Amino acid sequence: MAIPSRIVAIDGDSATVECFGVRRVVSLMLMTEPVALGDYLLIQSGSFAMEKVEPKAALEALEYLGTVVGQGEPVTGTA
Amino acid sequence: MTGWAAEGSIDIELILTTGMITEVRITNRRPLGATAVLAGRPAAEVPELVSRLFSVCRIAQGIAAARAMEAACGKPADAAQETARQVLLLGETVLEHATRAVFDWPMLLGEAPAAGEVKALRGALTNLHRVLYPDGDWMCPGGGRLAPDLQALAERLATVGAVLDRAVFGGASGFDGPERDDWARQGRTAAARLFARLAAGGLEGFGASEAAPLPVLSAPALNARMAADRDGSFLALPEWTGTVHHTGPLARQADSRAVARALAEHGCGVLAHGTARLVELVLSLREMRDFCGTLCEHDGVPTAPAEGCGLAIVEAARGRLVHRAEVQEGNVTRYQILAPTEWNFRPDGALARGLIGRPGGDDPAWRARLLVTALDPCVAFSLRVS
Repeated sequence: MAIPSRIVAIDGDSATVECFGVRRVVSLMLMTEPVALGDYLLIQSGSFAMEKVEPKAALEALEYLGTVVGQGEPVTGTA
Repeated sequence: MTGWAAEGSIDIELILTTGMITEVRITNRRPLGATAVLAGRPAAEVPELVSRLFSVCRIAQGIAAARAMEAACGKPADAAQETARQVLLLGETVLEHATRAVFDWPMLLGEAPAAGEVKALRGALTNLHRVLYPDGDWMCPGGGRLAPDLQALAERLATVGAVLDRAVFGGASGFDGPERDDWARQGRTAAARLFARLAAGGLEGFGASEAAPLPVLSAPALNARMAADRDGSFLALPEWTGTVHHTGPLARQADSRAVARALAEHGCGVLAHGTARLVELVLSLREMRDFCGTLCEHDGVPTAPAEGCGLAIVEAARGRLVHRAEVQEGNVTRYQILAPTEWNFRPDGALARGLIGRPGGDDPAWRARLLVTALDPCVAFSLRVS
């Protein structure tokens, strides 16, 4: 699952994005199109923006996922 | 605020005792209950929604969802649609495997990742569906309007072939025994240099475990198992007849000559995983070229179940992906996804078993990253050494 994250700051080849209140810095080095503040990006492997998402589609996805993200317990175990 | 990236992560802690990895603690923070958002949605709309929400391997996810709906109403798509779907699935596999080889593997070596090559691959493969389905309805149950642009497809495959020759294979004539070793020694690509580093460090067998390759599963038995999984424990901690399995390129390509040789020489460690990924990369691109000759125009017959239950099994880039849908009065009432990451990264699964009892060496986190990257989780991972 890659959840659309909104760009809140850009610094050269990296951007700060926000999703459900969590901010993180991601690399833009794999983006094939220009990005701007407020754009929604899909992030893979935690720290690489891979593609831009149309705002309407991004907001729809966030609305759907807002009800389930953060729910449920993580699966933890030791071997 | 969740405090965690919303798509979740795999958090791994290694505990070392006198230089040996003696304990592995894995926390899977993936939002496994996210399919709950699909309940109540019209069955015909779910595949498109699935491909948007579960957008890592979106092609495999969308096709699995379409097939689950078709299974629920007992109407499989026409062979022409299935051929096109197979081309799209192979394209996604090529993109994922190639990205590991030109992006992740250089980073394991401390080299700069080949971002330009990844961009070229993504430009050719990310929206491959537009070349086959101009209306964007590739995930429509029953099939979409298939109108392949064969010239554009051939051009994209030529681009991909050139990138792979230049940035991955670098003149390799094969990955079997001496050919593989010569290629690694020449070190023309990061893939070759990674293989050489494994050999120099005696790490070819690192990460081997007794976790078995995931066999063909009986669809009725799997359907029954998932139907009974009311608390989600099977989807979170999958096993089959009490056995822990791994899934992905190594499980699929174990019979190929090059992989069989790597397995015989070093077991199912990181060399066998890497060889399987390269072998599958070659085979997938070849299959795509072969399928080009059989693609044809075809109008799908949109279909959606009114009542029923459907199961779909797809071999995605990272491994076996299973979707299961229950439908009543045209709406989905229950939707389940069993993903490869849950097989490979369960706390006592292939990763943990492959690390336990291994020497950590000078950099145990780096060694663990080798195996994590080989097993290829669909979310970010973190590694901590205690």
